[in-house]
Amino acid sequence: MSEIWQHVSERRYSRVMKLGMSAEMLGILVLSVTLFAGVPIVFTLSLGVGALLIVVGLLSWLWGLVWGRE
Amino acid sequence: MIAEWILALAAVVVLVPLVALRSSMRTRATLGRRLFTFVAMVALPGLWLLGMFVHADTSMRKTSFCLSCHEMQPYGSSLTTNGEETLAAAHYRGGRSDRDKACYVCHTKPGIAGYVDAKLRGLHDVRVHYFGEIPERLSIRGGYDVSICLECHAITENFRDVDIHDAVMTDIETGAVTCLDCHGPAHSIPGPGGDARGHEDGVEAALSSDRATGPTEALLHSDGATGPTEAPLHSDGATGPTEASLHSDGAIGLADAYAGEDGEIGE
Repeated sequence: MSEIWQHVSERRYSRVMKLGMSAEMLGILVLSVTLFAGVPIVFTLSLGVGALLIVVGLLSWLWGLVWGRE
Repeated sequence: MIAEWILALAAVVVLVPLVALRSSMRTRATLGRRLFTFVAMVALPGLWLLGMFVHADTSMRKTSFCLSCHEMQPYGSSLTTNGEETLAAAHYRGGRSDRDKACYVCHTKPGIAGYVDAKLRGLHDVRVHYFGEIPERLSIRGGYDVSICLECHAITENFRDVDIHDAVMTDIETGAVTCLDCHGPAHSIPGPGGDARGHEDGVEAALSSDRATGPTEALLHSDGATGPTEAPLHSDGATGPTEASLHSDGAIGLADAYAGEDGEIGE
């Protein structure tokens, strides 16, 4: 492993991953609103915000894969 | 409604492993643990997100979704109750387009680009609906794209058998002539915000004060047929706008094509 390539600390890894999971959980809840929303703006916002939060969670997993623990 | 409940149940199924994973973050990263992390954080949420997008996309294509904004309701009414045989009503009542997706089918350009364009326009419309100023007369920004009509009609015999379609095809492709110039109006909107002729940009262009000198008018009049201004909608539904403009060469009009076997345009 190169000197430049240093895995992040356990604490930081845990924090970022927890943040990502929280974002995903919140995203799932927010996105679920679209299932029963009849108002277009609620539908549109929950779809956009929910998807964004889930994507944040997916990116945190990717970050953990690259910079996470060995 | 079943799909909604299935997706809601699936949301719980996706949430459970996420909660379990989050509450045990400090365990050793074994292969099984990494696999579980992948399933909980990527596979399940990803699949669920995909399902939600499909569901949302299906919901947003529905006519009822489009008509949930009050300013769209007159256009929805024009499909069914206004009693005039407009182009949209002919499509809707005759069942020539999927009634459940009537707005989407006729207002979305073909292809992926058209889909993206429809989404962007929809976002704009939502913004205007809630935060902007709704104009008294609605119109389609950039005008109505005839490629939407041609996507279905260009390959039909009813379209190809009409000689004038060949004559104006170049003009149609360049945008000088739209289908609505002859076959409009698309909708019939009564009241102060509308008139009996509809509000598509193409229609408005055709019905402007100088419409008598428009290209379609000239083309149609050269063979003695009547132009769009002389082909109004008929309150008795006896003839459609196309009938007046194209029948001189024996071709059938759109209203005829859309009429049922008994000649009626109805449910």
